[in-house]
Amino acid sequence: MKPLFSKLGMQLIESFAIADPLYAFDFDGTLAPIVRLPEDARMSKSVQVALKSLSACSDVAVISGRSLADLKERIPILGLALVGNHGLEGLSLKNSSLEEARNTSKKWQSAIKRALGDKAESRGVMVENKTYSIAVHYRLSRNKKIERARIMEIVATLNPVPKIIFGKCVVNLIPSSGPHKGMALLELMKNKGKKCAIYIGDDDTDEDVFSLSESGLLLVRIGRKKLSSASFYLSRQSEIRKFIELSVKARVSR
Amino acid sequence: MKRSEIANLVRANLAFFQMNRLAERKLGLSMVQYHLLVVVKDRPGLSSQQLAVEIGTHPSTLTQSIRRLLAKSALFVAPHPKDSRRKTISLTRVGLALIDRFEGEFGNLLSSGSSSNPVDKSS
Repeated sequence: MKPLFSKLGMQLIESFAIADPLYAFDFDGTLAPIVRLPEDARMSKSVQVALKSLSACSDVAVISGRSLADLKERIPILGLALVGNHGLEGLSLKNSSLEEARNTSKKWQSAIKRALGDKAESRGVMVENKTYSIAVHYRLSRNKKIERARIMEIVATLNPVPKIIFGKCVVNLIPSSGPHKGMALLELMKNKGKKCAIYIGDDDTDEDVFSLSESGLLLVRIGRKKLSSASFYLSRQSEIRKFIELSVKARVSR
Repeated sequence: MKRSEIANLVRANLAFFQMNRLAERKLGLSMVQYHLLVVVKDRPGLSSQQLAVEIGTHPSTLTQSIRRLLAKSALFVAPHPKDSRRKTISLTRVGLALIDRFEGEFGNLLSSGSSSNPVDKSS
């Protein structure tokens, strides 16, 4: 992994800006800082302004694990392509597949809640039904390792077997037939007729994008991580504003 | 194939080479270099192998053109992010300016240049 704000990274930001790419971002930990409670996550005013400027001169998308309705509330910018539930919502997925995902998520939610017991919330464990997928959060837990192990024991008993994506203090459960963020990015590129894209994310769920081998992709992780498949990194979430502003400048001077 | 048709093909080939040279002298880019830059412009970070496939030629055929474009600072080469043995090619602002100039002025050059290189239309 190389720093994006290096000579090479800056040259690539410029080359991609010339090529009119799709700018795509994860939300939590990328556009918005990670917070204790997921419902408190918000973009800073300056990031919001920068993102609005970028969307005025380029195609911009946000691909998140959050539900589409939740995402729409947090990103009040018109013209952005929003994709929720790791690619399940916001793309051309058949209604029958969504219905199946909704029923499966309901079933998993009851099974997990039953197995975790009544005191789960007091132990810092929350089960979030995102309509088409489930997220089990344990950020507020005092003993994260034990809670995560307990969650995984429960997940192993679920039927049908979910696709598991680990996030930061969260276990995401997605219907195994559903798409992932990488597929979502490729479909967005196809829909918008784009030959190249820049994607920035911070989480393990973004590795599905980072491991894409297609050419014309600039893949950036928030935070350096040895085992990540991303090519470049930003040192911290707060650098996202600088990246967006640089991109706007490069696009406008095109 | 008739002799005259072959002769026309040879004339067309010579005219192409002359125009290529003229374009590079007057506009800073030959037609081949222009085509290569346009492909790189749309797909930054292509490897030379991928670029060769896009253009429809062998990578070794492109080497000379890429060298000349690097000398003009129209391109930059970087190590492939996932395979250090490979290199990727991307466009610079200088390259973009060259494309814009070529697109703006090539029509005039073609019309002035083509009058001095007529292809035999008798056959």
